Amino acid sequence: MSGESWIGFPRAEATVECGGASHRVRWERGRLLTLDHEDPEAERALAALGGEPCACVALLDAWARYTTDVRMLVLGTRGGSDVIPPPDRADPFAGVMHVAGRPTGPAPLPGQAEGEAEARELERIASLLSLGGGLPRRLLATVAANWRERLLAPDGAEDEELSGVRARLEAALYGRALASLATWLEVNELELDFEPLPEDERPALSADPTGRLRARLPFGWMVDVWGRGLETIWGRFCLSAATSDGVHWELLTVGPDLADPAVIRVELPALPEPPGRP
Amino acid sequence: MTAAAGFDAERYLRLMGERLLVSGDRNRQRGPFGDTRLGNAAKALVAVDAIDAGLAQSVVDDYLTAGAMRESGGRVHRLMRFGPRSGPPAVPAAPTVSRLARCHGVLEEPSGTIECRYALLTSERVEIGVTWRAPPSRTPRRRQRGPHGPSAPHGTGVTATDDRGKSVSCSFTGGGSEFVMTGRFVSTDPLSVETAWLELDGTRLYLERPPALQPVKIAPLTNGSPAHRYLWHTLASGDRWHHNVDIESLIDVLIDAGALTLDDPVLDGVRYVANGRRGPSHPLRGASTGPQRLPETVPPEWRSVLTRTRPAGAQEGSLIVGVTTPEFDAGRVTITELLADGNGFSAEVAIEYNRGGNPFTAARVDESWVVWWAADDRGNWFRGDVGQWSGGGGAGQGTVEFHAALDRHATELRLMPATLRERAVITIPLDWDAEP
Repeated sequence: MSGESWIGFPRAEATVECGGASHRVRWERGRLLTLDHEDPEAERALAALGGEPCACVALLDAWARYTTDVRMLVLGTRGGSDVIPPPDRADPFAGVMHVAGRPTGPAPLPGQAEGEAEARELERIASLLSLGGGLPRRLLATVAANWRERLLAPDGAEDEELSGVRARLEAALYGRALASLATWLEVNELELDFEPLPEDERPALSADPTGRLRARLPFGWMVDVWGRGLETIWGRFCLSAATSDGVHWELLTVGPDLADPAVIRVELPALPEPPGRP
Repeated sequence: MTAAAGFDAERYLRLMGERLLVSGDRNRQRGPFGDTRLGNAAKALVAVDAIDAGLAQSVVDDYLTAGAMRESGGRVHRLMRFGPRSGPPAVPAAPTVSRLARCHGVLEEPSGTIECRYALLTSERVEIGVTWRAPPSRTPRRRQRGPHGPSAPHGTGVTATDDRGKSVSCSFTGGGSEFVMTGRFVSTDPLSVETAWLELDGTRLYLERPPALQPVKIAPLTNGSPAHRYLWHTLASGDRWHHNVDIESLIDVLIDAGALTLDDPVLDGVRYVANGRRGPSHPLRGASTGPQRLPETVPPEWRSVLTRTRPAGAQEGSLIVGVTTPEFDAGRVTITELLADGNGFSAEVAIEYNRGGNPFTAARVDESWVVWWAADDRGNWFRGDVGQWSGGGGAGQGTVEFHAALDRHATELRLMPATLRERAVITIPLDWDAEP
C-alpha cells in the first residue's frame, strides 16, 4: 500500500527493550521506523558477521514478515479493552533476523522442532500484537489494507489464496464491527446479522422489528474506519471515513436510534512533526 | 438430512468464534478436556458433512489460540494449541490380547487376600487381574481411611514367575475402597506367552483357556439422519465429570446448518432424554415442568435406560472375555474382563484409537469419540461411563462402568463401543466364573 493511502492515519509510537536500553519505534505513513538506530541495514550486516542481534531491527523484520499474514487478523485485538498481554520472554524477536552461519545446536527430536518453532512464532506474534502505543492496530490495518488490495484487484476472482481466506477476512471484519457496536451501545452480547459489501456500495446499519441489528459493511471499513480508531464519533457509529488530505474529513455516521445516516464534516489542522528521526 | 446446500460452515464457525471472543465467553465454555462451545459446534457440523474435519479443527485452533493469547502473558505452553495434534500416539499402544487365560487362585497375605482371576500375556508385558480384600478382622468401624486413601494391596507388588523360570516384579494398578480393591498386577517385562502356569510369590496358578466367543461384528450406524445420530451420540457421552454439553446450542447449530428443522419430532425425544440426564432442576427449552410422557421418538436403548426397574435377582460375578475387535471407526477395542457386583457391572477395556482420542469426549474435532452401550438378552439396555482410565492421545485402558444391575437370568450380553459411524458388537455368553 502506498504512502498516499495512509493519509489520515495518526502516527503511533512504542518503546522496545534493545541492548539494555529503551528504544523507540514509530509507525508513520505505513512505515515502521527505528528512531534510535540510524542504519538498520548496517545493524543487519553486523549481526550477520557475528555481532549481537538488535531487538529493534528484529522487530522491523518481524513486522515486515507479518504484514500480509491473515492470522494476525484472527489473533489481534478487536479494539477497546481487548488487549493482548506481552509475552514473558525477554527476546521474543530473537530468531527473526536472518543470521547466516550461526550454530543451530543439537538436532531436535522428531516433532520437537515443529512444536518449538510454532511456540516461538506465536510468542513473536503476541509480541507484535502487544506492542502498545497504537502499533498493533496499525499492523492489523496494514494486513487488512494488503488484503483489500487483493479483493479489489481485477483478477481477484481467480486468486486462490484469497478464496481460501475469505471466511477469515469476513470474520475479522465482523468481529471488529461487533466489538465496536457492543462498546458503542454499551451491551455485552449483541445479536448482529452481518452482510459483507463490495467496496463501492454504501454501508448501512439498521435493526429489524425485534431490535436485532443488521450491519452492511465493506471489508475496507476495517482499514478506513477501525484502523484509524474512528468507530464512533460524537456518540455516533461511523460507517465510512474519507479524506484526501488528512485535514478535511467526511464521516458517514448513524446515531443510536439508527435513523438515516448523517455525514459529519470535520477539519483536523495539520499537526507539527514530532521529535525524532523522520 | 445433512447440511443445506450453500451453507458456509467455515464462515458460520468463524463468526461464532468472533462472538465468543468478543463476549469474553471463550473460557466459560471450555470443558474439562479442552472441548469448547465452538469445538462442539464444529463437531456437529462435521457430523452432518457440512465441513471437513481438518478445516473445522483449524477454525477451532485459531480461536483457542486467540483466547489463549489474551490470557497467557505469552507463555509458550499456554499458547500452544490445545489437545494432541495429529500424529503418532502419545503413549505406547494399549496391550492387545496375545494370550488371555483364566487363573483361579487366592494368595493369603497379612494385608488380606488377593484373588487372581486372569493373566494377560503379551510379548511386551504381563498383567494379572486381581481382587484384594481386607482381612475379616478389619471391621469398617475400626478401620479409618488414611490421609492418602486406601493403599495398594500387598505393598507395592508381587513377583510373578513362569514355567521357564523367569521372574518379574509386578506393580498394582487399580482402585476401590479400603476393604475391596480391583485391578491388575502389571509388569512391562514380559513372561512366556506359552507358560502353563504362573507363580505369584510362590503360589502357583494354572492357566486355563477361556471360552471361545462369537466373532465380533462391526455394524455401520445408519439409523436416522446424521444430525439425529450426532445428538443421540452426544447424549450417550460420559458424564463422569458432570460435563454435559449444552444440547440446545447443538440443536441451534444443526438448525442453522439446515440439517434439522425446528419442528423435527425427534427433538422432543432428544430434549426429554437430555432433561432426564440433567435432572429436573435444569429444565431445557421447550420442556414442560411437570411429568412428561415418554416421547415416541425416544429410541429403544434410551427407552430401556429411562424406564428400567431393578431386576428381582441381580448378577454378581466375574468372567474373562479376552477379545479384540477388528479395526473399526474407533480403532481397536480389547475387552479383558466383565465384573458384576449386584449394583451394576463393568468391563475392563483397552483402546488403540485410529485417530487419537480420549475416553471422555472428543477434545479435537477429528478424534475418535467412543460411547459405550450394552444390551442383555432380556431386552435391557445399559449406557456406560468411563471410570478409572490411564493413557491418552493414541491409546488408553481402564474401566467402563454400567450403573444398573445386570439381571441374573440374562445369559448373554452384547457390549457395543460406538462412534458416530460404526459400532462393534461383542457378544459375551454370561458363564460367570466367580464372585468378583
